[in-house]
Amino acid sequence: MSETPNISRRTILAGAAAGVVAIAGVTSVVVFTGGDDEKALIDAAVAPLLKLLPDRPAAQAIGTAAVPVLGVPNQATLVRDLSGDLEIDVAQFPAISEGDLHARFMQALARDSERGAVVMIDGWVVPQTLARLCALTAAKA
Amino acid sequence: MFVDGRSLPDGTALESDVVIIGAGAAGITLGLALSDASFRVTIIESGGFDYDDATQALYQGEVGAQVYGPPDSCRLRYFGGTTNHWGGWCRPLDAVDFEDKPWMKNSGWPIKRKDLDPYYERAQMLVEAGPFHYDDIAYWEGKSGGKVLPLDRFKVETRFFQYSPPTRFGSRYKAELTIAQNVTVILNVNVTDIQTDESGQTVTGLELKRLDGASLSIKGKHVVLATGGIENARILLSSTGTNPKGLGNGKDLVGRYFMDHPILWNTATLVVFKPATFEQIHLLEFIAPDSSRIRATFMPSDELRVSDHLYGSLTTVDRKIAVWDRVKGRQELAPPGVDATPVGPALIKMVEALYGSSDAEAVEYSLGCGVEPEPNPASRVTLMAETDALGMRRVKVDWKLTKAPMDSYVKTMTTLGRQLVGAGVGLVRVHAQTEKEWPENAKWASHNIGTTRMSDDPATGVVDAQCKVHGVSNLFVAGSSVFPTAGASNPTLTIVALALRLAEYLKSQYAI
Repeated sequence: MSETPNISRRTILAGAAAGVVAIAGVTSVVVFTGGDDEKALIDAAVAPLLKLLPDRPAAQAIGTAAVPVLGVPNQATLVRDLSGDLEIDVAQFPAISEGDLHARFMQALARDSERGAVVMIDGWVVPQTLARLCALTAAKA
Repeated sequence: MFVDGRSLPDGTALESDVVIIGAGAAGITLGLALSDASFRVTIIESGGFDYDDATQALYQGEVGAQVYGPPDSCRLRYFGGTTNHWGGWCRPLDAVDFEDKPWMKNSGWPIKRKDLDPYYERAQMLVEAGPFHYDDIAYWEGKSGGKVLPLDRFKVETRFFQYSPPTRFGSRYKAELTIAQNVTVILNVNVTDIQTDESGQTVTGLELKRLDGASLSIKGKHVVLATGGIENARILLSSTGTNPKGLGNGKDLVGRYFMDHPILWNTATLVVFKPATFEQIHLLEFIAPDSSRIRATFMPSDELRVSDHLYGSLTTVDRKIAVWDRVKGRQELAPPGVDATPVGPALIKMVEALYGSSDAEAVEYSLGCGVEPEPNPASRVTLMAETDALGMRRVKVDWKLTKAPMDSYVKTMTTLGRQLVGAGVGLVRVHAQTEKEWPENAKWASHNIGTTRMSDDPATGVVDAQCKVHGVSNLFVAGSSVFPTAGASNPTLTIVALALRLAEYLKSQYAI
């Protein structure tokens, strides 16, 4: 193995995914090979995602109740799902500006509403993207 | 003209052209609409001008396993009929209500909304519910100074009920019927049997009885049964001269498909982030300076019902239960009556913050609903062995609800919830109890519907599109018993509209 395979692969994946997003404008498809590469990408994505929610304690309260509704997903699953929801490749989260990410988030909420992608948390009708983000917050608490 | 039937000698034999059985919303409407006709009209009414215990007791019966009002509590048996305790809610059925809906078994009317449109506007005048502005949001916003929630069209929408004062048909139209030259109302006489020729295809006369034991009779060229959704079935089932199963019951349909609108309270919580003038138009009822009253509701649009396979429903905003203050937090105004968990407060804070509404006061409201029932042949009115003071078998009302309407209602509320959160204007919580309590704890609206359903096909309906009993040339049925489906609207306006339409048809039969 060379000394730089991780960096190279991440760069390639990010570039390829960005291309998919830029060209198609639809949910990106990322092929993870697993292992440390993926974990690093996931970890790097979490921080910007968590910044999207303005009230961390509230997010945790919602997220705790959301986790079983969402099928008890782990952090990696949530990040991957959110990547699809926000139409941003996982590898791009650290690079995207807060403003752009927030705009994508609000667009995702509107899209969830339009297409009926909602979950019932304790009876409350919650957009799927918000539920996943709150679940991610709870998972990191 | 009015005649007290108790003054007629025992054995009196009467004759008329059109005989109408029952003087409630349908019967009185028919009488009024035929009051300019060139033929004689006689209305036979069981009661007098006022409530009477002995007459009302003729309505007694039993109910089945589903909790339901005793059959003598949900209707009234005197001149004016059940309009004497009517709440006054009016709204036409929606176009989709008349359609054959593949997701709702036994749905579909042989007539369409457009067939009733001209009669709805006339019916609106008879029930005195003001100008016909049901879904004109701008009109009612202008009247009330309120603003409805910004819901996108073709999903769950704000729709309006208009109120009748309510018009008590008996007292309101007594004078008109008194001076009508061709209309005679005979009070305190009961129809106990509809008699036919041997073939069972033509009504030849009606057996009449009084509580004092006297028997009378009347013959008519046309007979209209207009005694309400339970009693219409009872009289047909009791008329066994040519068919032991009852008149018009060759296909065992009379009494089946009995429906009422199930009602549930506190089914959901609505949170509105910036209520502003929302309450003026949407909380409880709005009364305009001209005394016109409306009730705003959330209803699934026709388009949503088709795309999402929904039953009709109406959701009302019944009471304010809490307000959110930035400093004091949640201030409860009334017990929510549901389990409280941390999710609600957290979600309200979160969504308010996301949409920049935190400078406003969020308000929680309790929602209630009325739901369209599924037309169910097992839900039925039957005759018991026990008889009343006239010797007629009493009824058993076995109201049977199915699961589909509640599943549909939850879908509707979920759609409302996603519309509101998507627009950043509110939230919806569907209470777990809403499904758990269904159907055992459902209340009812005392809308007796469906027991002589309308269909072009005698195999699937008791009456045809003109409300004529299949196979009987001169017997008609008026009232909500002919509705094949109930919709979500209160039935009285449609009862009156159908009666006006039937009156026009009857007039056409005498036209040369």
